[in-house]
Amino acid sequence: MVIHTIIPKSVITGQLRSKWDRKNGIAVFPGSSDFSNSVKDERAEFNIWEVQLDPKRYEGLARRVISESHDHCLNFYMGDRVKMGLLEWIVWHFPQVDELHKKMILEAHVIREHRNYWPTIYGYVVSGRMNSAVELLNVSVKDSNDKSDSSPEYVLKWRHWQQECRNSLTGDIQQHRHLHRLCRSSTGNVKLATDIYKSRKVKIISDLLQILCGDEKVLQELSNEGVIHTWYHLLVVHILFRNPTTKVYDLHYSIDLSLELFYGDKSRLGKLDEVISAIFLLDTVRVIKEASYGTDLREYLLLEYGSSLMSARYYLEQYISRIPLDSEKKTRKVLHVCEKYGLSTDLADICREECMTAIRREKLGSAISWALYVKDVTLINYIVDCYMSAYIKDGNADRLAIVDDIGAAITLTGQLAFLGKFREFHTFCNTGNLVDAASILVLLMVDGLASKKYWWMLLLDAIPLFETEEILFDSDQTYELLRCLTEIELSLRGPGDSWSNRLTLKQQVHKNSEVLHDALNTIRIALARNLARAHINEEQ
Amino acid sequence: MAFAEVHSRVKKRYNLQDNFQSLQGHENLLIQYTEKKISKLRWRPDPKGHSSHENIFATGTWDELHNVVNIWNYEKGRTFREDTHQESALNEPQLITSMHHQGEVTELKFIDDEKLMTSSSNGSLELIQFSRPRQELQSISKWKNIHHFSSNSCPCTGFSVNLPNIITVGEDSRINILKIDVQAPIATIEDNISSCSINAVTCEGISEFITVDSMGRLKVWDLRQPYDKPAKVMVLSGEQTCLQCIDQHPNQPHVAITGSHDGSIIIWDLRQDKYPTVVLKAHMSTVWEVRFHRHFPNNLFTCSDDGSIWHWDGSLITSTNLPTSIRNFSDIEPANATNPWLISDVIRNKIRITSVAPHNKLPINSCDIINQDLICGTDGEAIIIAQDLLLK
Repeated sequence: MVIHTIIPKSVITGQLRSKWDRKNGIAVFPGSSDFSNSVKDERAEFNIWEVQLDPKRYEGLARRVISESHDHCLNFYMGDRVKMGLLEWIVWHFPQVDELHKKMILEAHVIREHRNYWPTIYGYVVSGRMNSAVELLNVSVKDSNDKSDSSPEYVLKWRHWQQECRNSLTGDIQQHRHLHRLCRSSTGNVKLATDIYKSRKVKIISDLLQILCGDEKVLQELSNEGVIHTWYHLLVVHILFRNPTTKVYDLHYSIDLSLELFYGDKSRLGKLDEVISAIFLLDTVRVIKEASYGTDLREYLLLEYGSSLMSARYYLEQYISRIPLDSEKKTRKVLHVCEKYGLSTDLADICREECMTAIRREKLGSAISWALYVKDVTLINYIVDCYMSAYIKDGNADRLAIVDDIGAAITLTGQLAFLGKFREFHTFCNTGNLVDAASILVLLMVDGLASKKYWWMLLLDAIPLFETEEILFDSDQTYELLRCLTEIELSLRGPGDSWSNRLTLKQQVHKNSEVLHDALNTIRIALARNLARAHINEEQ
Repeated sequence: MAFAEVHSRVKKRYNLQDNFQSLQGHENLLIQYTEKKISKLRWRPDPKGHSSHENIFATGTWDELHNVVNIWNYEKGRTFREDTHQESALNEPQLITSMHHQGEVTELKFIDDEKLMTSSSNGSLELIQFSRPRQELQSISKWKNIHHFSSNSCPCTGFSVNLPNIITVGEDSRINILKIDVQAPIATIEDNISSCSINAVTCEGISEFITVDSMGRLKVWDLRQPYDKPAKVMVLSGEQTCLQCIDQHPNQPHVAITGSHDGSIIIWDLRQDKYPTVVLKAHMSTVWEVRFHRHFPNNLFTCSDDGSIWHWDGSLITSTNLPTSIRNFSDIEPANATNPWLISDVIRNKIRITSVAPHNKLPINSCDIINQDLICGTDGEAIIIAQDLLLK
């Protein structure tokens, strides 16, 4: 159950959700011909199911309702203003207006005269699609063959009419950008206005303006005429034109009003209406109660699932830390969910966990990529240590090739930069470029790029460089290296630099003082020889 | 330092916003809900020798208590509704048969029209017989636990079949080479140097195959050479971006396209030395699958965790409208001139991308195309079918 609820499941978003097929849950895109009336179908279906109580079908619908409500909670209420989310929602859910438009274009010679012309414009306006409405209004102007000039009389009348319109627009609505634009284009366009005036469409334009003003009577008329199909469509229109700044917690006023306007009598409410109004009010418990009506079978699961979706973010956080991540694919998916909802702490935790698992499995390549992904310095340093101990163990420098392609991230930590340089040192040694190898060694040791615990191993690796025919280190450099050697010895003997360094060094040589002793002796002899040769060379 | 040089090589990184369009109001789009999350789906190839009138595809699920392999039959067309006397919704695919699958299905491929193979998150590989007349699925053979950590099982992330060889890869950074009639792997390559998950594999020829891994490396392996080292290692330099999937151009196997964790599409010319030809900033999230159309390789399909499925149309880039310099060059090297995907400077302006299901928001894990019909499987427990796509 836990897993099921996390990576958002069954949430059929956007348009995919628009049509719920009668048979077994097929969503069809609104382009298909039987799309219209889908909402009515749904309502009818729901009522049929109330009678028949076919649990399987009911379950499907209930799931859909819950999926939708998930959408509401996550998207509509992201901010406390609900308008924009609702608008988007309504556009996808009431595509009938597009159908009308399409039919009209196919059938009409002169669009303006088509019987669907004004219903389409109404449809656009009540869906908040002002741009489409304005476009259609403009088409009508282009269409018009009426070339008559605007006579002074018309202009006068029109001005008077425009003033009336202006008066009817109240301040609150003026501020609304879309409305403003529509008003401007319908009142500011002289030709259109005269056209409308001439064709005695004053009723229509005043209706439109009344919609824009949110006049209840007109809204009710529109509901009766079927331009507004459902009460929740009415709700959106209401919010859009009456109260565009509605906050989530004020929503119930609008809901009550819309229900009243649409049904007149609350007793006519169907099950679906109850569920939807509960969803709008974020009344989780009521939604689940209503939605799981009639299905005893999966009520528990439904409750669990529903509640987890409803209080999305909190549950998401809680669940994300509890998802068993048994494959990398799943991990990556969960990471995307974290990124999407800004759960950066969980993201970092997951990466660290994956990194530690990889280290336990000795998959250092995976480990370092996880550590780099989350840019965790401590982890990176730890992995570098793992690499070095593996190298000390088997002397195989090939696996250090991993750092070749890390790129700019190599400067993230000093340790990682050291590993990069160490790899470079080995590459130069292998390719016979000993001069460069020697200069890297000095850089690592003398300039302190390498941690002290690796000095011993570096010097051991460098022994061949001290014995080459060509003298690679001058006397000053050799003195410095000797100083490093002495420091190693001192730190081993007395209470040296730091306890942990000594311990690590001892562990590295398996607490076998003889091996260590031999190694240090060899290094010292090599360095001494090199020093002698350097001196002779320099004197010459 | 070395990285500075490496970094400067990433020179072609394009944003593709200008080339983009969405398929609006597509009437040939159908959604079928399956009640299980789909991880992979594949069309069945036509039976040999004759073309089939049936459109059959297989789906595999993941992240479920009981994972299944399903076989669906999809008859194209619309049903006639008697009540309204109108043509109605598109036909729905019908479930033919179903079979329980141990572990999540991580890869699914038809070997021929009667056999399919699946890999599992528990590290095994299974060969399944599909009998059309009897409408049933039957397990023929199984390679168990071929991918594993020391004691635990480990997901087998993918496989590639080039009979008689089967190559499997897994999160344990192992590569197994199997023969279809031999129970144990005939060879196992352990990649100790990279030691990270290998995410996908594809067979270039009988003896060569390509793997991509979580550290952004593309490796070409040659079965004729000793197994301990890849024949070639190419890297997505400096970015450490995990490569998730790969597909090869059907006619020109030296062209490979991979998808990465950050949503980029990376085009590789395997004749090049080390670096990819072009990196295209594409999807918003992990690209789970890239597929060339087998017969019209100018058409590429990519799907992503951000819920998008894109149709890349490279047909505008043909040898005729290339700059003259390249056209003249084509006498010497015809492959480059006719392969639109390799010409990086042209690609940016001429490629057209269509978002096939622009309203889908949930991750699309897999897609496959046969003829003009595209299927996608999503985490929304749905199969999206887009039929009669415009191919060029």
